[in-house]
Parts: sequence; structure tokens; C-alpha cells
Amino acid sequence: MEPRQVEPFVWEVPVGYVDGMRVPGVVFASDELFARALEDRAVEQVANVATLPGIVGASYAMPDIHWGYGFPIGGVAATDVAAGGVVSPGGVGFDIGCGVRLLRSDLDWERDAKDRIGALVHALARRIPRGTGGTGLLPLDRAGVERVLVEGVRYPLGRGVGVEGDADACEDGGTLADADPGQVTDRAYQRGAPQLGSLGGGNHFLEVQVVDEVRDPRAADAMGLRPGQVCVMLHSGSRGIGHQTCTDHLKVIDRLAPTLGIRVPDRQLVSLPVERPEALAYLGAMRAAANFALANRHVLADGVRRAFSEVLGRPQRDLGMDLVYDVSHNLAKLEDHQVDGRRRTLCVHRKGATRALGPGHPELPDRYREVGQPVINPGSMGTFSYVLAGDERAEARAFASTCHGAGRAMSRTRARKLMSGPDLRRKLEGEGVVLAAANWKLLSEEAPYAYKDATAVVETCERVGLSRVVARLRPAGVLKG
Amino acid sequence: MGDFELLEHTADVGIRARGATLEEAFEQATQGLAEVLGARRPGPGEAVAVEVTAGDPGALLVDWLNEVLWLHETRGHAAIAAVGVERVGDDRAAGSVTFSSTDPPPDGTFVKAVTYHRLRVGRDAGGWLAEVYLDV
Repeated sequence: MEPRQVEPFVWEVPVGYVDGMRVPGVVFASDELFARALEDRAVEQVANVATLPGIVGASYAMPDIHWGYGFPIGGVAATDVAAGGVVSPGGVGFDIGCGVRLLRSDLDWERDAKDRIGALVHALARRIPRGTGGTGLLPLDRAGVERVLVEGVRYPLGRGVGVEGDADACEDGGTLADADPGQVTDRAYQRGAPQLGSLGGGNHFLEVQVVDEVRDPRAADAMGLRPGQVCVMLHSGSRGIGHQTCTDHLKVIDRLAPTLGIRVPDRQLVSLPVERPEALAYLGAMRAAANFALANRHVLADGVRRAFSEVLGRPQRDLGMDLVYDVSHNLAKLEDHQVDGRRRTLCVHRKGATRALGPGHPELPDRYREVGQPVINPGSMGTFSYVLAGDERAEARAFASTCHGAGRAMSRTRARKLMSGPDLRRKLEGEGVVLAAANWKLLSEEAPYAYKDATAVVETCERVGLSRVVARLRPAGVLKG
Repeated sequence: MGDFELLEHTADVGIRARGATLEEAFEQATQGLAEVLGARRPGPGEAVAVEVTAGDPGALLVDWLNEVLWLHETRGHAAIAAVGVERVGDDRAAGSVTFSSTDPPPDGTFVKAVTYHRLRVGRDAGGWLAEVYLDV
């Protein structure tokens, strides 16, 4: 019952690897990436997810897979709603709607930004709230938060924050339908109300990047990307309102699931059939929190444009800082997919994985219809990031999903022991990357050596047909949460 | 005399807490959370009563720690000065947590939530053992 390679870069974890598996596990990985996944319990977690009631296809894992808390990070699991398929809040995680967005610009690195990078990072550090505590750029009262939970990026847009094209360049147009703010508790409101427009801590970041190489000129052109251009990538989520929403609903589901005979090998995988009222309540709250995450990144992006305008002394409209795309990598969505020759509505969990629609998909905005959905894939601090595009083969491979980043390879404690924050800062600055951190002591938790090689991850996705590499970006300035 | 240690995890962090009593194990787990947050600052402050209800000791621990985390965050990331768990019963845990200054701010790892992953609360050779993982 050991995992085996079934084709290059595809590994199967057979039914029986852990008790109660309903489908096999499928891990997309090179030999080296798979060996790492086996070492850190992540493959066992892939197998655990395969026990979820109603799961179809397989329990999938992307090449950036690593040990999570229940679901593996990089996991994709789809359940058949009509067949009693479940939703598991742990399959979304506490940072509901966490994701990445990329702003392009008309700025050329050599001509416009190279000499100003110190000032740009300094201005961003001053303007963008980050780390523990602090108030976001757009703190709201309860009524305001409630509107964000329903309207997503539309609410700040209506208040003059951002530009109209921003919504169109977000997954789901910047607003998830069927959000239910009534299922978000008072405690979650209290935690989240001050935080709209704040980066948070941990692995959240904002980077000034330079397009280093274009590998798919047609797709890059559709995304407005060209070599030498300045871009800004940011990674953040739903902040306290998302964390508390998951906590609150998990408690309800944890109490109820065993009474319905739903047993899971790891308690964090607790789940309920999607059609149960408590599951629908969770999904409504989850969508509301995801709308907060979308609006949060939207407000942060506005802060970025303002900082650039201020430092470069040019009006925002002259900077061309348009949104390329905004993708979430922690979400459960009801999607229609073909399973065993039949169209079915599935609850697709992506935990540290990204939806990746191939060319021609009707949900894509017009400008991406021919090239596929942009997928923003950050590398670790100080290493390359990638812009990918969805591949139509991903639909059959893993319900149109791909990787979400480099994936951690080492614990935070070990990463800190290997190098101090200030030493890492000196090293990266020696490599030409300007840094600002909310907490220098913790900087090396996020060191490049604590992550897998993002290049190996995206190239594996390309080999198996999950996504194509469009462009490679190198970091020039890093703001750590 | 109880104690706690932090457990390695690829992305997150765990706490293993020990106590002569279940209450002491809960206290030590709370000290572990405060340590991770960088908010452990023994001393005087404002004591806040904490009470949670749940179906089993593991869920009680998760709820207790989540409650402490919520109080810490909504009080401006206030330092945790003292922890007193008076009673952990079958379905209820009660006690108090003393919060003090928000200045300087905590310098540890931001914690999103307390998880049920590999959750363990039970008797150990020398008393009680609690293991819990945090999402950071």
C-alpha cells in the first residue's frame, strides 16, 4: 500500500494507505518534491482527506504540498453535493480567501525605479499597515463591514478607492455571490472591523518586482507584462474576521458531525454534508469573509498606487498600475464539473491551491478568454515569483487547479536558528533586494531556504498540464508582514 | 510544577503542556500561546474572567485558547501577565487571564487560530498532558 509513481510527475497514494479512504490520493510532484512531502506527513494528510464523505476523483495535492493542520497545504478535494458530499472548514483554513494580487505598471525598472527603490520601499513601509496590531487603511464601523462582507471590492470602489477595472480583474469579479453576513458572529466583526487594508503577519508580504523573463509572449501581452517592467505583488487575506469565522463555525461542526456518524482521521477535518443548514451557514459566512479578503487586497493596492505616485511625483493615472489579476488560494466553491461522464455540482476545496481556468472558459474576463486565467504564484522572499496561466488539461487533472506558491520546506524555529533576521537582511540587501520588516527578529522564518524551489514547483505544474509559465519576476523590494 | 514546550511543524507551531492537574496543563498551554505571541509578560494587570463550554477536554482547550487569543487581539494585542485556570470539568472550563499593557507591542509570531489538528488532552505518567497546534 505504498505510494507509487503512475506517470512522470504524478504519484498515486492507494486506497488503504490510511483506513477509510474512499478515493486514492494523487500528488503532482518531481521525485525530490515527493520525497519531501513524504517526510513531513503531508502525504498522510492527502490520504486523510480522501476519507471525506462524498469525495470524488481523488484527494489531490499540488507540487508545493507541505504539512498543514488537517488538510495538507496544496490540497484540492471535491465532494459531490447531491451524493451527500461534505464541506470541511479545515479545507479552507482560518485565513479564508487568502490570496495574491499582481499590479503591473508602465514603469521601467532601469529608467523609472532602480534609483528610487529605497524611497519606494520606505514609502510603502510608512503607508501600508502590517504586522501585529495596527489599524487598516480603511477602518469601518459595523454597517461598513457588513457591506464589505456582501459587496467585496465593490464597497471600497463605491467610496472612491481603486479604479473600475480592478473588479473585473479579480476572481469572481471581486465579489462572491451568496455571502451571508448574518452568519458572521459579533466576535468576528469586532476582530475584523478595524483591519480592512492591513497586510497582517506571517507569510504575508508586499513586493516590488521586475519582470525578468517572458516565456509566453501572447499571454504576457494579454496581461500587460513585458521584460524590465516594474510590478507589485501582494499576499494577504481576510484578517481577524476570517480567522474568527472559521473558529466559530468549526466549533459548531465539531460538535455536530460525530452525532451524524461522520468520523475523520484528524479532528481538524470535521465536516458536514453541504446541504445541512449548518454547512450552508458556514458557506455563507465563508463567502462573506472571502469578500472581506478581496476588499482588503483591493484597499492595500490603492495604498500601493498612492505610495508610488507620491515618491515618483506622478499622478496615479500616469503610472499604469492596473490589476493583472487577484486569485484566492484558500476557498471552497460550488462548481460544476464532469465526473464519470456526468455533470455534477461539486464543493471544491482549495487549501493552498489556486483555481486555474483554461483558455476559453466562460467565466474568464474577455481579455483572458484566449490565454487562460492568470495565476499569481509567489516565490519565497528574495527568489523568483511567477505568473502562470490556466491550462485546459487542469480540468481533467484536478478540477482546474494549480499550485499557490513555493511551499514551506522547514519549520519556523529551524529557519530562525539557521540565520538571524539582521544577517538575512544583510544577505538579501547584498543581492540587491531592499527590505522592510515589521519584526526583524522573525524575518528569517520566511527565509528563502525555508521554502521549496518555486521554479521546480511551477515547472512541475507545466509538465503535467495544470498551468503554463507566462513570466518570471524577480524581487527588488520586500515589505514583510 | 508544570511546563510547556513548543513543537516543530513545517508551517505552524505546536504546544506540549504538562501539569500535575488538568487545570495546570491548561495554564501551561496558555503560557505557551503567550510565548508564541511574544506577549508573555508576568506582572500585574486587569484580570478578565474566562469561561468556555464544550463537549470534551480537547475542545475545551481549543475554545479556552481561542478565547484568550480573541481577548488578546481585541484588547489591542495586550500582553498576557497571568493565567489562572480554576476548574476544568466535563463540559466547562473557567478561570481568568490577566492582560496588561499594549506597549511595547508583542514581538512574537502572529497567531490566526487554535486548531484541532493532532489535539491531545489526557493523563500522562506525571499528571496531565495537552498538545495543540496553532495556525500562524
